[in-house]
Amino acid sequence: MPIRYRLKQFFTALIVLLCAYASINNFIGTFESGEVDFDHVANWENRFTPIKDLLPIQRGTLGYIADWDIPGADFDPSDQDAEYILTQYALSPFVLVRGENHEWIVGSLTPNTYKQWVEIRTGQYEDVKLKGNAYLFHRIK
Amino acid sequence: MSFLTGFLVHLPSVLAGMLLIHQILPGNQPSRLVFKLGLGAGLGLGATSLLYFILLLITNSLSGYIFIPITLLGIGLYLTWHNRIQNPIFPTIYSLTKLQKYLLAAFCLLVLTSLGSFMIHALMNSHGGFDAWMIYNRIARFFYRGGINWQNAFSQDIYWQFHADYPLLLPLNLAGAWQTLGTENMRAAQAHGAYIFIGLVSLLIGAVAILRTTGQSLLASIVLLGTPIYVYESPREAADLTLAFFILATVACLIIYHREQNANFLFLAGLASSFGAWTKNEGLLFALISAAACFFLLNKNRRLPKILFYITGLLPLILVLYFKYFLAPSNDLFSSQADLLARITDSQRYITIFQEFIDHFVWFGRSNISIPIILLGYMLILKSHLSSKDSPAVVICAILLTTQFLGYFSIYILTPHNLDWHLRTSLARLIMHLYPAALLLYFASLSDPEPVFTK
Repeated sequence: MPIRYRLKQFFTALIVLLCAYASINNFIGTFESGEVDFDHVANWENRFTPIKDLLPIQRGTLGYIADWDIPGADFDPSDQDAEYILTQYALSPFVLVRGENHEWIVGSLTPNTYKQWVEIRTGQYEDVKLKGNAYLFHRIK
Repeated sequence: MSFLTGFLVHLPSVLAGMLLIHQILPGNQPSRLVFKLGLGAGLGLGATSLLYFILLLITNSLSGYIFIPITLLGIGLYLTWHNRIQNPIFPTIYSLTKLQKYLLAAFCLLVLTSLGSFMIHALMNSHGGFDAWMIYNRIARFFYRGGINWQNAFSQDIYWQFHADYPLLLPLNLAGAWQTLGTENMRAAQAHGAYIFIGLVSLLIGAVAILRTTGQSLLASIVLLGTPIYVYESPREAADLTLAFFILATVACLIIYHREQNANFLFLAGLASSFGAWTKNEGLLFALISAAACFFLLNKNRRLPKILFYITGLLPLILVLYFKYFLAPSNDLFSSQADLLARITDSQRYITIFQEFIDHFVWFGRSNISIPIILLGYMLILKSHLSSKDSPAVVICAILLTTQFLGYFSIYILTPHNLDWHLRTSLARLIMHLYPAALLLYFASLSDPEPVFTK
């Protein structure tokens, strides 16, 4: 049999073996990569979804503040981004708009940034603290 | 239980698509049945979503979703029964060679490992991946939870990163499934991804088997299943896999049309490309380019009047354009065009994008081996064996995919967002759109494995 045919056979078998390796390796990697009984999105939802029961409206626009809105606060921008997205996801069909120009404001703040934000707005808002670092602020008219 | 109901709720759409396509494309050879099984899965889900959109526009109510696929399935079952003698659905008996049996065994092994990976990913991410919370599941929640105020999903107040302008194939099927089940069953989104993935693999096997041999088709599917990004993406509830399906479907239908001159393939190619536009914004670009490819293909064959079949298939685009002009907010990429000239004339952007394209292409697939490089090596050894009958269609479709790729390149040049961030978060998924169709062209052009092993 000419060497050309041997080479073709070898490469055909190689492709099959490498693809099988990639697939099995992916299966093992997936298996080892995390816990199937911990869902961080569901966890985040559990923190923020109770806000909907505290609001007197069923839909509309809410403000959203987080550590990235507090001057001097330490934060990771990509984490803040992901938290904003997750909070919007949890509270849909409310639209979350960054900033405080709304009657109702949802906050995702660490204890320090919460203190800092509230200190300079004493008497302007009433707030409810929920599980984790979730807050709901209501502007006092 | 939620897995079961999640799969069952989409099953009528998938079965309806298969049975109706069986009426449009007769034939019960195994390769054709596998092709129709794959094509039907995606087109059934696409048709259900679009018809649901029409129902939503007319009634302003989310109820009635399940009656659409049930009605389509009823029509499909009636026609299949009525035409059972002249167009039987049960496959003809077909025996495999020794090599084909080995390849089938390897294929089955990869199906099992893919199924295992899918289940683990699905269990770990019940809400899907980042894009699912940000875009598709979020829009579905606006519909399902918003009720008659479903149009709030397109509020101008929604931050650009949530992409409220994205087309609705996936969110509508999901909102409809939730409405039917009476609960936000996240497994319904993962089942949608699973059906599309099964459809993608079946479509590739069927198309390559029609154009080449069974051995070649099994090899193509092994390569696709051996590219882990597809298994990874299918339970993540995003739309990239769905768009990849429609791009492959369009290309496969165009090539098989050229081989067989059955104009129904043109209709299905048009339908697939318009469903691609209903899936993602990139699908709109693809619909435009594939229409041009179809024109050139028919013009070359001196069969230009047949383009009417393709245009008929494109009719759903009217609804996509209605959505884009009357409901969707403006797209973030085109809403801010300050410094546009500076971006276009910045040569460093071209170099960065080109380098990232090469890097992502070589390491495409979320694997520690470079399957694309191995495929290039395989091509050099096996050499092209493209029949002159298929070559115009294969060449035109290769140009079609290259043009789509250049379109993606241009988007990166024009993007007002941080280039590194934009490349990092999207480039692999863009390659993912085109890879299955590129695999079809690749395996349709290469020598078959059977003769090599019988010498």
